[in-house]
Amino acid sequence: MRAMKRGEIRIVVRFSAAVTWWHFAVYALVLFVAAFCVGRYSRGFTREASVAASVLTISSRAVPGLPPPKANPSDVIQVIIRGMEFLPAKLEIKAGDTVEWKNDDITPHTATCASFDSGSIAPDESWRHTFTAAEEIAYACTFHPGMKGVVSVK
Amino acid sequence: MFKPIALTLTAAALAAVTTARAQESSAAPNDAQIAMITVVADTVDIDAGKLAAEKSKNKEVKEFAETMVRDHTAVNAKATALAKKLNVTPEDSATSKSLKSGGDAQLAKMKSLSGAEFDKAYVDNEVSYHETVMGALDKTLIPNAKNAELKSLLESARPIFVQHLNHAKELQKTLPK
Repeated sequence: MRAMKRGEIRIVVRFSAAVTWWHFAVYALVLFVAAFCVGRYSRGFTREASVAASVLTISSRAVPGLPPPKANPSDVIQVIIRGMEFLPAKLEIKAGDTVEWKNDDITPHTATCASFDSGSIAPDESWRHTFTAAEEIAYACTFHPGMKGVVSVK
Repeated sequence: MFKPIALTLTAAALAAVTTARAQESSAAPNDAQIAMITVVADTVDIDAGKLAAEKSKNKEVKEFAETMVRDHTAVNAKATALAKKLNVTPEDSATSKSLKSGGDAQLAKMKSLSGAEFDKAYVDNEVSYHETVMGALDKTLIPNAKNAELKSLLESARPIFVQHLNHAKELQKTLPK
């Protein structure tokens, strides 16, 4: 090593084994992959979740030159189908929201009315519909006429 | 009042199980027998529903029959899967055998009918059948189920039968007397 100048501070790092640049490259790659997975995990390993997360993030930030972001971004609200019932039987949402019917029951069901028809929703499956107009919509299961629900859109 | 033989057999079979004076040594069915009764009860309704879906010319009766097939197939799938999981082999009993023969007799009778007569016979039987099965569920099958998961399955199947019964009753009102 060259001689030190007056006032100079030298820090020397010695490795106990032979370490090359390749080692650092591999560690960096491992860290990157780990960080990527952590990021994905916190968004729930789906592209949709990532896209949804990024859309929500984008929509909540003001961008110069564009109209300000909506004060209330649209939501996805669930109606659970269980025990031959729509839960809640009456759901209140705002225009632009999406309702997701999730079948937690033993048999297939539908969510049907004049303006929408889910078709058969198998147990464990879901179906979504976005409501754009303010109105009160009554719907029913076509397989079980006694099963009724209402979506009240404000 | 005319009561078809098939229905009497079914009612008698399920009634025998609910009273203390059953012909078998033990009046209360065990879990293996409960599993079989459930599967047979579902199968009887699936077979009747398949026949009605094929034969009926009435749109509402057809749709009701299709729902019976769809729903009872789903319950059967759950019951069978649970029995497999618990390593329980469904066991025949006097009750399950009576249910089966009652169902077969009813099926044979319905095959000889057609048109409005068929629809009426099918729907009338569905009302009585679901009433009888619900009674057995409440008085015998659920109270005697020892395994918690089996009990839970029977309890969660109950609302299905309630819906079916109400649906059948509404349908009954629309058919000519």
